[in-house]
Amino acid sequence: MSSRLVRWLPAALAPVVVAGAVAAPLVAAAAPPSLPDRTPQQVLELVAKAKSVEGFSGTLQQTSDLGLPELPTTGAGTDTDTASVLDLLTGDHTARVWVDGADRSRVAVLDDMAERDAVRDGSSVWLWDSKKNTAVHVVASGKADAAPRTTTRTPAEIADAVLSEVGPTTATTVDTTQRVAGRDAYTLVLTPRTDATTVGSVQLAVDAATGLPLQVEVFARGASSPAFESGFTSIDYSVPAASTFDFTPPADATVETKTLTAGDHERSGSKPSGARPEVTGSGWSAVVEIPAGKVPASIESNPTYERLTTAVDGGRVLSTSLVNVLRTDDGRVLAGAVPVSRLRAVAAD
Amino acid sequence: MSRAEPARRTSGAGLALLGSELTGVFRRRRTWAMLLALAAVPVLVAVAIRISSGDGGGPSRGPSFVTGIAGNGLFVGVASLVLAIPLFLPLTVGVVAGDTIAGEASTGTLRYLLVAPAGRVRLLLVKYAGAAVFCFAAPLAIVVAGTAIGAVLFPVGPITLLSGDQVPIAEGLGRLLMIGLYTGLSMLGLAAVGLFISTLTDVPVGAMAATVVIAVTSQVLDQLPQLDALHPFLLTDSWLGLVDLLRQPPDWSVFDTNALLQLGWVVVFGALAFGRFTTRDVLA
Repeated sequence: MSSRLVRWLPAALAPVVVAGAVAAPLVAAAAPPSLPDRTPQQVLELVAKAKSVEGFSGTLQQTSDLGLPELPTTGAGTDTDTASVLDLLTGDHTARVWVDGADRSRVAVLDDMAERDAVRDGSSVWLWDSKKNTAVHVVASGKADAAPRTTTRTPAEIADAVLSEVGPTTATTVDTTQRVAGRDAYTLVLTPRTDATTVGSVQLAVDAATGLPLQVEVFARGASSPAFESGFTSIDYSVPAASTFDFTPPADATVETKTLTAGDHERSGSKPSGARPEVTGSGWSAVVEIPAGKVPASIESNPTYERLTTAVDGGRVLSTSLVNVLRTDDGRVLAGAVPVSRLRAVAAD
Repeated sequence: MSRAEPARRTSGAGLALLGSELTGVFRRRRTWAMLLALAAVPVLVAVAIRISSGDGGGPSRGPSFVTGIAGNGLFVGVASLVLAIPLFLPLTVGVVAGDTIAGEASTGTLRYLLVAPAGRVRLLLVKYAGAAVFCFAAPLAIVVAGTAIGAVLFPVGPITLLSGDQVPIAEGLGRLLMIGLYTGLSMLGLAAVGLFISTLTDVPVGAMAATVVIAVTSQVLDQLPQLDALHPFLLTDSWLGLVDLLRQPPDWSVFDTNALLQLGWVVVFGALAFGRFTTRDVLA
């Protein structure tokens, strides 16, 4: 009888071994690496130094938990355009990133059975969409920096945006070290000094050796898990092969060429000039107000609009854990990282 | 299998047993019928697209490489593989894996096999190896048949990858082969599950059906966003990872992820099969 039990022993042990093999790297990663202490200032300098990183490639993962309803991507009543724009902001994405110096980069957003690429080589940028089989070639002429916003931003880009906010509005501290993408990293915590914002804190993981921001997490006020997270799951600091940045569209693809000249911005700015967005407040609790008429009224007939927004007194609200957007009944749109009550107060003024 | 000679079975050498098992599996009409049915998938796809592409072609639907077939016949193999992966492929693997032990038990040949000094462990290993070989043969049948029919019916040229880059035909064929091998690897976990279920019963059809049900259930669970945390550990989670081999540069890390995942399932269900098979009373 006991020999029978012994034969079942592997079956009992196997799940334990597998679970251990899964858990071991997680446990190892959870232990904070020991690094020399740094002040926030020193970590910021480290970040500034990251500009000297010659090149790298890696895999980037973006996840968001903004509390938005799941949007159907197939089936009746699907509004794929709105859904795909929202999806970029709110969905979970994996992207592969290659960077060589300041002016050559490639970002590939990996979709199911498809891929979207942005390939930049100097002043030439290719935007490729495998699902539509289209390639857009953007050529910059003149001094304008034509780097279009790529669909998923690298932590470096996001960190730059966040760091420009640092100042009297934000407390900057250094938290316990962590391991991100197999690298030892400092944790820089930015905490708004005001509590009139929905943002609780922003945490940056900064590579201790290179200064490259490896991960950005945005926490909503009072939340213990990030509402938005973008970070490398793997990174390699060798300069990618030059061929990575050569893009030739396939012969059967629809190719569109756009030329950007330095004057384009002024020309496109010649729309109704009286209707510029108005900003109330500053720093974290700023509210942006877009006057009536700038947002097409047709948005109301959009099926996704109904599904995403909830009615409040005087308008409809798109509410997420980080950002709230209020569209008043008279057509104005107010948005900010603030509670809905603050939006309504600004709208009433 | 029942046709293998007693002298061979008692020879004791694992290799001989493996040889007879493989001959057994691949001498069966059923195995060839399944491989032919799998090979028919790309033929159907290619013929359907060949016929329909004549009438102007409406707005294209489905994965872009299915619609890309008309322009390049080399896509037929991959597109058919993607179509076969959810049900057709696991169905055939389930039939072979579910039959391994239960099939012998139902025909009354299991106890003769166990007379050999090779022992139960070796028999289990050999049975699994036979199923594993089929796991690789099945997707390769689709890829080879698809590439052949595609080359006959459509123009063949450099392959456009999902990343928009084009690779020459030779490299493209290499990628197709890797995709076939990747899918074979993907099926190993399911074969281990089938082997275990096959040790539980003397009714092979039951074991086959249960194996297929597990593959389908796993894919359903993989679709539920509420079970996000569970997804990386699901048997079927890496099955469609083969598309990462169609990017430029290819993301070889999917091979490692898939291999680890399948290894986990093979270890757990291999151990279960060992526990069950070495303790059970073989009456038939």
